[in-house]
Order: sequence, then structure tokens, then C-alpha cells
Amino acid sequence: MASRSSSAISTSCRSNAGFGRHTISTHEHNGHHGAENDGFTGAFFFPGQFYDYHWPIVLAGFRSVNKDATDPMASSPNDSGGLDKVPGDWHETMSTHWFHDHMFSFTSQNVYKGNAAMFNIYSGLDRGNEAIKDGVNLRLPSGTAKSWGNLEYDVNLMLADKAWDKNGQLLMDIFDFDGFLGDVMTVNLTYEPYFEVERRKYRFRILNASVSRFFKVALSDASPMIQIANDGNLLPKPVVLTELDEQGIAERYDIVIDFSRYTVGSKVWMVNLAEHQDGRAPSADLSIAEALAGTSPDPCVGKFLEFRIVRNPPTPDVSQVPGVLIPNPDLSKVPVARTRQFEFGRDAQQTTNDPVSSFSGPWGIRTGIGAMLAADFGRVSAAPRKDTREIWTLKNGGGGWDHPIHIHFEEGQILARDGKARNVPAWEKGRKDVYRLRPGGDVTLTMQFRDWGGMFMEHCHNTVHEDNAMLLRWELDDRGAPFLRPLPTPIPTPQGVNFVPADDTLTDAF
Amino acid sequence: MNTRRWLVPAILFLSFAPAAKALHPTTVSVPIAGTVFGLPESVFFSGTAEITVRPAESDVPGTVPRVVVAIDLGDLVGKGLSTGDVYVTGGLIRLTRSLVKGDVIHATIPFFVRGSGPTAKGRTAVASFSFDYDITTGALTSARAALAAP
Repeated sequence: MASRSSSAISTSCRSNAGFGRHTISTHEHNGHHGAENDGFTGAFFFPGQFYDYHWPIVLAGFRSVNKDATDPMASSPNDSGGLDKVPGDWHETMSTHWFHDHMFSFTSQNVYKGNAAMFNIYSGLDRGNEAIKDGVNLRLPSGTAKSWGNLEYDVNLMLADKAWDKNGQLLMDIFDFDGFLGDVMTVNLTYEPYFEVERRKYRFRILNASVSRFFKVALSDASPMIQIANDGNLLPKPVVLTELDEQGIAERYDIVIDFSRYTVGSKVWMVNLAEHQDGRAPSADLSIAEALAGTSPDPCVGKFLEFRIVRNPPTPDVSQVPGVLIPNPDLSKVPVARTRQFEFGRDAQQTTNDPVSSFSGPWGIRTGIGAMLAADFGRVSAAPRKDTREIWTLKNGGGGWDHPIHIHFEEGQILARDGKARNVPAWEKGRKDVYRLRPGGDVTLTMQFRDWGGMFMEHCHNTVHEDNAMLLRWELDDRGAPFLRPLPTPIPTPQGVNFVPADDTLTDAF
Repeated sequence: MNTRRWLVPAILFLSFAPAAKALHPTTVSVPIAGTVFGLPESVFFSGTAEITVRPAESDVPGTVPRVVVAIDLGDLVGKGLSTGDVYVTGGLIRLTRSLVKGDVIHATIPFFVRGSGPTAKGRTAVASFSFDYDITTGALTSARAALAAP
């Protein structure tokens, strides 16, 4: 897939209505592709310019697993209803993605303004056709009109809180470094929407596209829902829930709701249970009754999407939710090359002063036993070796905050929460790319690094925290091997990009 | 829900000494039981709720500390009062709450016949918890649990 991001934004910073930046970088979250196509925070471009991203939509491991593309489980749907086999590990199949701006220090403002969109990846397994029986297709709710990619019963929901001023203009407080909350709940940028449904199963791909707000979703009558995917990755097994877990910023939860339990003419609502007092973390997860009571001081608690059950399906619902979806890739034969620890906290120091790549803010990341450092995309904080596996522990530095940490490029598997494997709930036992730490908590995960090298990022996806220095650069580097040399640090200018050496490399990076 | 259900909770109580050290997690196990009345049959559940509460100190003056509550109902098993069928529930409840002297939590959980597929029509129960905290230390000092229909 070739994606051209063209900037038609004004050249004047002053025509931004008070917030947002006229330089942008488009991150495909969490595509498996080369670093130059990742939307690196420093690889931004200017008004009147464009950036061509190559998103090859491959299965991870395509250079080493199923290289001859003989396994039909690793496949892409074609327009004839068949499959085109592709190389790679089918256990790495991805589904629900999104792309958004990643401008250094301005991501929250630009995304809040609307520089974000969802997109679905279809595969032999996750076809978007619920009728085709070929032993590969999981036949999840979607439709049948097209051979793949049906959307009648497969619906994207982008949740975001917004605020408007008295003139109806989008409003943001860029000086609240704790996190920004809106007072209006939107779904696909619509306030108080309704959706007419048939008495059958639907799939909903729920993205939290807020700046700092967490959600916790339930149905108003507490009916069960089936979670089938987390962060765009189908789970090993579906999980039946009546209240989804807290959903941090950038996390994607795919669920199936069966409306056949309702009568025509009835209604049910999606409800948000996570109450906020500020942008630090949810202050409390309410019960469904409390959220529906209308007594919460948080205007984004309660009903936010109305389902109107309007008719029986014109044809029988042939979709299914199999008991097995996509088992995790087997990493047991990949030795662990090393472990790393990252602590996310406040009161960071800055050791560099590049006017473009370096930034100071209240937030930072401590790598290993080093200092808590503010962001510099010219600094290399970690450099795993290509074709190895590592175990990373992400630790919340305390203070009562929560941080949804996003690691670019590679999907991870959570091994433990707060040091224990048994603390990992079933809905987090698939592959993930955003890891909520919870206040005072930590997450231990494992990842393998393969297929491409180069510079990637790790940051808090409370984008106010990210923009105010809770971000670091890591890169895949073979320390001089001739076939893999990451590009130097990009320093974009309106006239072109200067590439400069890293201005800092942590001693423990390699 | 289109099934009428009645609430007959079986409330059990367990009390224990407060933790000695401030803002450290408390883990306790309390019995939980109750009958979820409704159709197609009423179900009696019993088992143990393993509760871990982890208070998180706040670095912002004047704000109430949060408590991360994890409740594992993994061994909660139900028996259908008509058929004798075995019922199981969703295993984990994860909540953020504010640290207050007394907190009451009502969390919904799904339950279904053991071995049934994920698209089987699951039912819903309400697990209720009443916690008492020592708000100076964040320690959980007592907990009660009950299960009933919504």
C-alpha cells in the first residue's frame, strides 16, 4: 500500500486557531514495515510538501517463516473469493489499525484536531466475509455482498472526547501537562449518535482516539459481549465480558455483540463507566447503574451510543465466533538476548539541547538504572539486535498516574503484570502494542525484532505526556553490519532534510 | 435483560487485621456465594474471590489516592438448580477506584454453561463487594462479597 500524505496546512503557525502545528508526520499504528515508513516523530514535513509512505502489509517473519508462501493460513483475499498465499507467519496476522499524526511535541494537538483515521487489514483468516467456508476464513460478522471487506455488520467506532468554545470552535488547553479532557463524548466525531441494527451479530472495532481519556465500555443492560481482538490482533480465544477493561488511548478492542437477544423496536446503549476528574488516570470505574444514574460530575460518563434494533436480518446470520481465533506466535525457540527496564515518570532532566530533536517537559523515561530523561529523538536509548528476542519491563514511576505505553513496530506478548503471570487477563493474552501500566503497576513483555531495522519509538500514548517529553527512540542496529545501517537522525527543514549523527547514545543501549 | 430475576444474595463476611505498612497492596481471599434467579434456570454459585487492592499514592496535593482493585473469580462455580449443569463465570474484574473509608462495588460478570461456545447466550450476574479501608495506610481492613442477579 502506498500512502501519500500531502500537507495543505497553512504555512503560517498563527492560522492554527490557537493550537496544532503546521508540520506533520503520519504514523501507521502499528504497521510492520521499515522505519522510514513508520511516521517517525522527527521525520516530519512542511506545508506544501508530501511524504510517500510504503506500507507493505506483510506478515511478520516473511523473511524467515513460510518463505515460499505455501501455507494457505498465510494469505490475502482476492476478488474472486479465493486466497493469494503470502510469505510470513500467519500467527502475526493483523486486523484493526489506525494512522495518525506523530509530530514531535505536537501529536496531541494535531490528532485532537482530526489528523487520525482507522483502517482495516483483511486476510485469509479475517476476511470480512462471513459466508465463505474454506477452512481458513474465521467467518467473523461482516457481510456477504463482496468476496472480502464487507462492512454491513463490521463497524469501526472511533471514540474521542472533545471540547468546543462559545463560538463552536474546537478548544484545547495546551498548558495542562497532566492531560487534556474534553466534556463532549463523540463516536466517529458525532455527538449522541444512534445506529440502527438488525437482530443478529455485529463486530465493532473500538478505538480510543482521545488525548488523555480512558474508557470502560459496557452495554446499558449489562448483556455479555465477546472480545475477539486487542490492539488489532485477534486473540487466541474469544473472551466473554459484560464490562470491557479500561481502554487506554490508542488501544483497540474488537468486540462482537449479538442483538438477536433483543426484540424489534427495543434499544440498548453503549455506556462509558470510566470517570475522570483530570487527565492523570480514571478517578473511578463506576457500576453500570451509577453510570446511568446521571450523577457523575464527568459529562463523558454514561450513554454515548444508542443502538436501535429495527428489524430482523433479511437473510440468516451465518457469521460465527470460533472458539479458537489466532494463537500467539511461538517464541519459545527464540532465545532471549537480554532484558531491559523502562520507568515512566516525572521530573525528567535533559542532557541535550538540539533545537529540533530535543525537548523538555515534566515527563520522562528512565532506561535501566540511568537518569529520568526528557525526550530527544536524536538520542538512542535502546538498540536491540536484529533477529533477536528481548524481554522489556515497563514500570510506572508512581504518583497516581496511568500511562498507556506504545512500542512501535513489533507486537509484544505480555508475560506478567506486577511481576505475576496470573495477573494477565485473558483479553491481554494476545499480541499487543499498547500497554496500560495502571497506577503504580508494571508490565513485562517479550518481543522479537525482525524483517526491518532502523529507528522506532516508545512513548506514553496519553499524548500530552508524550508531547511533554515522555518519549524515547530505540533502533534496530547490527553495529556496523553492511546490510543494516539505520539512517542518522533526520532534521527536517522546509528546504529538505539534514541527516546528522545521534547526539547521544545511552551507555546501556547496545 | 428480558428475564426477570430476583435478588437473594448470600452475604459472607470476613474481617482481618489492617496491613502494617503504608500504601502497600493487600491481598485477601473471601468466600462468595449467591443464587442468580432467572430463566432458563436459577443457578447457585459458590467459590472464592481473591482480592488484591493496590493503593497508588498521589503526587498532586488535594487529590484522593486511587486504588487499583483486582478480583479473581476463577474458581467460582455454579450449579443449575433444575438441570444440575455446571456454570462458570468470567475470571477477572479490574477496576480503578478512589481510596475512601468504605467502598461498595457492583461489577457485572457473565456466566454460561461450562463448555458452551462463546456465542452461546451468556447471562449476567452482579458481584457485589463492600470494602473498608484504613485511609491513612491504604490497607484493606475488611471485605464482604455477594453474588446475585442484576
